[in-house]
Amino acid sequence: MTSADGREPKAIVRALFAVLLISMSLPAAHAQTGAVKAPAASGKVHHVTELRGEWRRNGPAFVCTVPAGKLAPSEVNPDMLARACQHMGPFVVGDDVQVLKATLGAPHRTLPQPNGAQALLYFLEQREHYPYFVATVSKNRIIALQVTGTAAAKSYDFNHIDLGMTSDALVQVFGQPSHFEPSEEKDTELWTYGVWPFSFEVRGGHVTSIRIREP
Amino acid sequence: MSVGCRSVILALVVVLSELLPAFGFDFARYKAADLDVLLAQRRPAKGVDLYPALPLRLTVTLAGYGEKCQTELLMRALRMSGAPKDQIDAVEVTTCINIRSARGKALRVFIQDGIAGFLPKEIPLGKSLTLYAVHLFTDTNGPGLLVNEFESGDGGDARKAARKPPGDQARSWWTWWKMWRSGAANDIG
Repeated sequence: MTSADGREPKAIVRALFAVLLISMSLPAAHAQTGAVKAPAASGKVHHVTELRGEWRRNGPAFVCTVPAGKLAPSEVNPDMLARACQHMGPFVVGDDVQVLKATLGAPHRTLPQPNGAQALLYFLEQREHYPYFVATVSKNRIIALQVTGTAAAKSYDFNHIDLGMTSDALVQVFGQPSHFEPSEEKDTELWTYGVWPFSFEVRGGHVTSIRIREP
Repeated sequence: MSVGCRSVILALVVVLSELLPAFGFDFARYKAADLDVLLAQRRPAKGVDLYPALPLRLTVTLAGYGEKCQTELLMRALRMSGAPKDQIDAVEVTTCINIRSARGKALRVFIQDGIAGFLPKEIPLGKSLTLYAVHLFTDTNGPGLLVNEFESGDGGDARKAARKPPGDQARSWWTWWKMWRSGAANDIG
């Protein structure tokens, strides 16, 4: 999936903060960390936030809705809120790279990326087979997360979207994409949502890749 | 028939006559737009930009009557809009017409089949007409518009194809009924 990092102006980040909400009425956020536990208690790793929210469509925009949870409003800062919806598996975009290595170990592959970043690739079930998970890291921080495969990768969904789900289901959750184009993968389309920090690949009417990045 | 019964029927007729136009074509929601401006808008270098069925009123010149055309992208855009499936299924579009902007730029636009049939009877080629269309996408070829209705000239004509009686065109009575019932009579998007 093509990276779109660094494409958005700063104003968009500010706009994103502006639409973040804390909802007292929602039940606890969907557990996407059930199968793999990150060693958040370790003093050496930095988990950027324990908050878990979910994106909801609001007209042409999206709102990251976060249940109030156990944190007092005074303990919540904009950086936490901005990332609360950017979680996949046990990881949050912005986490320290040590969280990744402590949870999944050494990557199966490391691929150089633009601007000195690195893509750390992990096969989630069987080596050299789908599904695989990629964390892009820069300056010891996770800047993007991606999961790719033809069927759901346990606990690596994003905002109610699993690999293998239909594109109709994707539209039901995220609404109309703002753009789609051929992906680098054969017979696959890349669906994007303007400035919003998530994108999907769709092949044969099914989601085959999910990517989230820095808000 | 008793006076009471006639009163009830009369009341029903009055109520229905008030309600039915509400299911007709909503001209007011279409905002005036300039096709030349639309054609000049940025196009994606590749792929397709999608729009949430923006309703536009465009005064253009008719350059060609309806011809069969590829509607796969149009139908995909409709499906990706998240519109209810039954409403999308009710849309019958296999036809495109050719139009020209005030500056003479050409564009091929999609048109509902039931509406396209009226054009040869009502609008000579080369004449001006007002299109009521929704902007669904833009690709490298330009904007993808679906015409839901038209009027001759600049829109001052009273013609309202959506209100013509069923059977006056190719569309079946049942199709009309389905669309009227869904409140979508010719007004897609």
